[in-house]
Amino acid sequence: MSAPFGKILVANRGEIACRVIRTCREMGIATVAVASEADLAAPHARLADRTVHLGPPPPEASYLRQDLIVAAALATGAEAVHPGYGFLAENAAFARACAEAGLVFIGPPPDVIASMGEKTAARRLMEAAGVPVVPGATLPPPGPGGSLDAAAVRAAADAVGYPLLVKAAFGGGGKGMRLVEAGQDPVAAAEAAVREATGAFGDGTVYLERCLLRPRHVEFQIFADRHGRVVHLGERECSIQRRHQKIVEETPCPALDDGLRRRMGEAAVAAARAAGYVGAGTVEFLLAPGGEFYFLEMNTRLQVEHPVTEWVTGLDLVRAQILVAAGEPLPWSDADLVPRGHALECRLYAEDPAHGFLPSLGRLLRYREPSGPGVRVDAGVAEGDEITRHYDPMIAKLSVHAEDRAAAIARLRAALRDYVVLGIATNAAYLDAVLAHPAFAAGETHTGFLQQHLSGEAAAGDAADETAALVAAALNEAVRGTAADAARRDAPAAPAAPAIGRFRLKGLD
Amino acid sequence: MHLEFRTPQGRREVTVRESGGVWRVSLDGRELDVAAVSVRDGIVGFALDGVQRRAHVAVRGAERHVAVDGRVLVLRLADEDRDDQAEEAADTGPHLRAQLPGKVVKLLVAAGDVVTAGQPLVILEAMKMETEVAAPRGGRVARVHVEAGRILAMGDPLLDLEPDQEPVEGE
Repeated sequence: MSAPFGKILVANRGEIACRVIRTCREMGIATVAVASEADLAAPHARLADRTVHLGPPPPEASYLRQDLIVAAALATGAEAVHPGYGFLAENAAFARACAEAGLVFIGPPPDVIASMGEKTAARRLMEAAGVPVVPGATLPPPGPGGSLDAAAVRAAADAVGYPLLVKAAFGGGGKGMRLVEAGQDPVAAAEAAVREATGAFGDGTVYLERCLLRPRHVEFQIFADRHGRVVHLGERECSIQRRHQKIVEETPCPALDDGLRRRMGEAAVAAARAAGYVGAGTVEFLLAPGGEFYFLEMNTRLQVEHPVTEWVTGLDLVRAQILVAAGEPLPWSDADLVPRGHALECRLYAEDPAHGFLPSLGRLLRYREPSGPGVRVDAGVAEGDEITRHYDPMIAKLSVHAEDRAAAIARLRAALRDYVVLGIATNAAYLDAVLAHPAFAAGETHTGFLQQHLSGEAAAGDAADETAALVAAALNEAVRGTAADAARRDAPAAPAAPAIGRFRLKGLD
Repeated sequence: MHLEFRTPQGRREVTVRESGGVWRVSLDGRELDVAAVSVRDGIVGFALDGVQRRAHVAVRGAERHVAVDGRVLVLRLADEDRDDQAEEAADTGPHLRAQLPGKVVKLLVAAGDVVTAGQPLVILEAMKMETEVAAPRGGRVARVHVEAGRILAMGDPLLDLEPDQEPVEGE
């Protein structure tokens, strides 16, 4: 089969850009990377066949510059653009700009991105398609000064039930959100949310939603082609979240039996059909302890945690994205979609759990990835790289596959122990503390897990064996020669220049 | 070879001697059971109390970053700790410095303000996250070196904190 495209521009950085470039390479497709000034020597820029320099490090001057990225694709002769996740991946205007320039955007149509990006619209669409949504009620727009009809708010709140959340229709990031417990005044909370939403989003429309207690976050990977076929590739449980950020993901979800998996999978496929979906997407649900599930939102991109699905299905989701974007049918039969074994992923962050998860910046003095049967690392950094303040602090994803959940946990913990990152602090010990927790081993996960089990002191994880570390450091000194010589040899005289001398940039001028 | 390290627990003394391929290591004067040593490219293999260990050691100035069994410890070699004294002085001296590079989002105090230990002083943004810089001790803000929007390098002075002028009576 000839390659569906001759050349693809990857509009992203870090591990996801590297991951997309690798699949392109296997398919015989040439690649163009884009890079900010801070990333000219970054792994993704080195891996691509060509790299185009976008601009200064801040994302709004580089990776979010739609005009520069479209121009780079046209100038380098790319036929399609893969947006990765984050940055412009769920930006309908960018998808439109690509299409208008004659480029194939590797993702769903722009109007699908737009409709799924607006929460109340997505909710209405799902309700109409028979997909269960969290019980809730819309409120009429606030009057001048942000006042609401008190009697109407009370009636709507009583009908939804307590505890409930007041949420901003155009919101995100927890802004314009209020929790109302039974016995509290829903009117005061709703009016406070209106004020906050007006300030933050320029629109004070709010709605009410039942607040589920101890829910699991369970999402389904869906895939659709342009020939009317929509399938799901099973679920991922992503309940282990710190400040709404997933840090451990797995499949299968320990709480699903075959019946529930089938019902949720059918709902996910129905949601994708209702949205007119094309390509790879994710339908997120909240799963209550009693087994009731509710549509949360739909992500119109490849997810960070897609490797666990690739592990258990043995499929390459990026390859399928590219084929579908070229108009080909999904390359899988139903028999290909049968999962096997258990997969787990954890996200390695440049942050220090012992000091309030402060971002940890600096040079990677040593960086060695683990390997072995069933171990995969998706990284966007290399030894000697500088971790800067400009981008997301996730430096790598470590995932494993094993025959069952217990074996997968053991394999992930062993791989984490073998992961060597020196020069910056990481959350590795924290991740290990999650994996070592008896409640995690029992599969008793929910979105409040970390707050319940691993806050405060416990977040730092076990300390290093100080005696062993001292012996190692002393032996290293002894073999290296006198300590004073060593200091002279290794002390950085001046900040090292970025290593961009090794390759030539062939970008736009 | 006699080495002095600073660890999170305090000062530790390690002595290393080699004769005829046998290594003897003592910690704070106590001889340890260390055997089968190999050191290459910053990877140190040894047996401690009969248990085989493999550690990675990386050097940055006086710092020794050590990874052992998936845990990391940053030690400081005390004999070559020249920067250390300066840093120690900075801890108690008037300058409060940025501990990470970033952008000043908001100043929460002004010159002349009296602050208590732990009180948030400045909000910095790095890696898309906001971080509060808190007062390491109580005192009076003598001078503010930054303003909102300023981009800071690691170690840039934020503000000067001096002991509150109120004379302490008694003592």
